[in-house]
Amino acid sequence: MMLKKYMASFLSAVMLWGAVPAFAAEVEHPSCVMLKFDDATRFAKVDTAGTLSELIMEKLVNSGKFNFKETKPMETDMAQALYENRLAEFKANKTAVDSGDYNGIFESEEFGENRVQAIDSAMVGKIVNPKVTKAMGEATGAEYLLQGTITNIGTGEYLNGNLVYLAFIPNVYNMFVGKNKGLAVIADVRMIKAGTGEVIWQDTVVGRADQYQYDVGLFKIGSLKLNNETYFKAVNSAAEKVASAVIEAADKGVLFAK
Amino acid sequence: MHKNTKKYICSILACASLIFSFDTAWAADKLDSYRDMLMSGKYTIECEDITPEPQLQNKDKFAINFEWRGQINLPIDNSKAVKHCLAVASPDRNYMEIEVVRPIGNTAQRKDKWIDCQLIKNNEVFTYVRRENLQNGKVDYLFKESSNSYYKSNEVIALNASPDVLLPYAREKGTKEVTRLVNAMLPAKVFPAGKEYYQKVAEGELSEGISYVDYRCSTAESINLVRYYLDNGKMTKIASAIYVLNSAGEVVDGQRSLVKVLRFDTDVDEAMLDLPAKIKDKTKREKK
Repeated sequence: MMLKKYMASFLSAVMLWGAVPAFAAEVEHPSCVMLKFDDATRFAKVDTAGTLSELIMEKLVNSGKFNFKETKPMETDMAQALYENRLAEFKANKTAVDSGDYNGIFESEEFGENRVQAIDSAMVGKIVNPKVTKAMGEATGAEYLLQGTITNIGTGEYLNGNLVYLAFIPNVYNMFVGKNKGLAVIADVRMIKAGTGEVIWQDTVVGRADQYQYDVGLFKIGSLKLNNETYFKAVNSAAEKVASAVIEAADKGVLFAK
Repeated sequence: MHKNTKKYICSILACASLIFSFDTAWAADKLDSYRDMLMSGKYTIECEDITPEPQLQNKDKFAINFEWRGQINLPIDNSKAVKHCLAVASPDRNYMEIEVVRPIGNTAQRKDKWIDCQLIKNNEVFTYVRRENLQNGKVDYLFKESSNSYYKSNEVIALNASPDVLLPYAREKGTKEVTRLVNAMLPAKVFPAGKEYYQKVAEGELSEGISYVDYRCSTAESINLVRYYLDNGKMTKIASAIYVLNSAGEVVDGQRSLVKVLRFDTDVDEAMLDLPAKIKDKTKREKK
């Protein structure tokens, strides 16, 4: 009889032991959604933002560390939503402008020192219009919004350093010249508290892929021509770095507000 | 009749004096001391342009700058950061610097800070970068002859400057936005014909000793409002709202900006109005 009691106690203790970490994990990871990245480059029509967002989402979902409300990036364009909201406010203020009483304009929350006017300038501690973020949070049931901006996609050439060292040996320079061409994707990523619009965490990453070409006398080995594979590698590299940065921030406990 | 005439004259004079005193009071405002500093060309203004300019982003740019061994030199995206500005002026000289304050915790943050500097003296303009190493405190200066050339250390070549750059409205006080907002208080007479200027439209008190003075400039394309904030008479902030209008006078876009004023007074550090001792002036000048 006693043994049964001990067994029951032991089993319930084990069950409780198992339940506690699960509960704790839920507390540690508030609900969030990921918004499709904003592309602030001249190549927005290529939809790098779509590819990048999906790759990041996949990596974050696979990590099992987040309480995502959706397993696909939300199509909601925060940059556009902020712009439309701002324009509506300016239109509504026109009467105050005509009346000559500007208190309603300058003393509004929009003129707060921490308030950002555009999403791509939203750094840690800044406030994104809460009307917009709150509406997004309520629409998705998420407490946090993971959002990002592609700030640059570009290429550049450089000499391969190791081989250039050989150039200091007489007559070797003409034989071995290594050239690299890189394609890079630079992106900002940030976590926003939906209820307040506060940017809790932010980082900048650079994803890149390189092509190599070695000139050996009259011969060329490799090619500097960029292709789809290079482009995808660079986007994937950016996605990996964004996902790693987000996971690292979550592990350090700095991704969400305390 | 004679008595009545006297009465009329007295009334007219009283009205005139009232109108005159009202006009004088209206023209003069809490910004007089600041306006006087700008007009006399002797001041120090330190401020932070905390609201980014409209995003031009990288839509006009393709190349990414790869440094030695392929390290990527991240573009300095000025729109993202607080710009710390300092302007020091004496009647015959002007020094101005702008620093982009990088966000804390950003992995892209460099280990040094770069401050764009511009000195105008003797009808010459010196443009260079002051680089401060944040780890060992070492300071050096960098200069580029053209956008395609390499940086040279601790030397500079001056360009000729028009004497007009030292006029009150033309002196740079920091970023373009800081200069625009500070200049809004200048009287119409200092601007060349055809150049837009602001007019005072209102002033008042807010809570806790904060007062404000409002200026406005209206054109067919936009309505520009500027509010100066004073804390017990000391300027602390300048806010601006721009309403972009279409041909029908409807608002089609808008822009807000905010400048935090850290200092605005007549104390001038004369040393800042000369080239730093470490910089060699390599300008080739004709011998007189």
